[in-house]
Amino acid sequence: MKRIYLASQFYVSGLAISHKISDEQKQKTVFITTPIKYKNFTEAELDWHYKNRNTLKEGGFICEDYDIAGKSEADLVKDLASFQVMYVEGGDPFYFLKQTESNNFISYVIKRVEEGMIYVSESAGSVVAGIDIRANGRPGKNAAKYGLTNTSGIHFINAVFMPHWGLNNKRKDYQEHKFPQTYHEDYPYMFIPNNCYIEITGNSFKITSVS
Amino acid sequence: MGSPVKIILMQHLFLTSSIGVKGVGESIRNRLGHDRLLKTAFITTPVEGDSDQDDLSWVQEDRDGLNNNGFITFDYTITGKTNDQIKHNLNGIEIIYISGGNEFFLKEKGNENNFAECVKELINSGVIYIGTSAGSIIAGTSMVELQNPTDLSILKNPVDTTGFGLVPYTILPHWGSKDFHDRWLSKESFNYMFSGKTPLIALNNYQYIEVIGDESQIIDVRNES
Repeated sequence: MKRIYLASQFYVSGLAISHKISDEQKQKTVFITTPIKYKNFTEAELDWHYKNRNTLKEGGFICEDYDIAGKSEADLVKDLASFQVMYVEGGDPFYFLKQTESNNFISYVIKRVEEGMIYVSESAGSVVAGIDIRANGRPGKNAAKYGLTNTSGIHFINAVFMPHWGLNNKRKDYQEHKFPQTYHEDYPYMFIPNNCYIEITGNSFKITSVS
Repeated sequence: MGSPVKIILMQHLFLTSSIGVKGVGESIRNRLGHDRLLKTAFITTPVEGDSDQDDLSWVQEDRDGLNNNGFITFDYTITGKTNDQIKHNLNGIEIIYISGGNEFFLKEKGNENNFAECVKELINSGVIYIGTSAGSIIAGTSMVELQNPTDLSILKNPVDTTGFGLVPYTILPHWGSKDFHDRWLSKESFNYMFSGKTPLIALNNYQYIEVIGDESQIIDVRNES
């Protein structure tokens, strides 16, 4: 049965998630860095990323970094075979999805999760786990920038994941772009604050808030 | 002799935008797999607080969506009732259906007779909860995100914005519908919604959530054959 944990901001809810995963499984965690590789950050811009890494460490995850960009399908099969947990970092979901096109990453990760690997993610990693990513676009981060014509996600949940809901520094993006972009009769949309994560088991989900 | 053992059954809810939309009632019937008529209390109280009393045709459409699928309804309002009256009148029902309308009005009337407690007791005894629109919103923990002047103008102050707490999220019904465009996309609505701490799930008229215990599943009836 598939097990998936979709965080909005991992350093807020990650410890709660870590308690749901066995120590043995956490020993073999691959940290997918690809979503954060879409640009060069200054150190000051990466505060959230280092907090996520610290939370993983504090939660008992032993991580190895891996970037799927430029990898073939055969590389994925060979390089990721031994991992029991996959953590997908935040960043740019459109850049990340573009990198999955050439190596069939989505089919690979679906197969691995069906076989028992646990998928853990935050922000962009959670967006890509949903049914579609287009509504999360804004100027500078969107499908057109990477020539993405298919914005379909992994479909771990049959809804669109909208992270960082209620966060003041995301208000403008939401008000001007993301929120109106969701107003269609297509998919269900889930607006998830930073203190919440979604746990998916089989075909059902639970939303948990952490204090 | 010890006190009697009280058995609490796992809650079973269906949270819809509109049960009158073709396919929704049918889908719920299929999920329940029932082949007999189910006694269903149609709670009309949210309708009494609806701001557009001139067009209530949607209430009959929702009633038809239930009756056509084996949920045999009788209308019931909690307005002016005592807690004991509600428990007596709803004894023996198999389904409690909370209508659309004004969720804050229902909460206000429910506070006068502790209707939330009645609902929880019914659910814990195995009665199935079906909500449409306001009836789905009020199943959540918080409604503070959904305040709007039209709904609140007829209410006492301060307005109670807590829901029944059956699920840890708040439903935004009728998402994507032209009829609700201004309701959901106004600047004022956005400000309320964005300032909340509660996860929001926007469902269009073809989608609903089935809840069993604390597990939820989203169903889109357009994907069902």
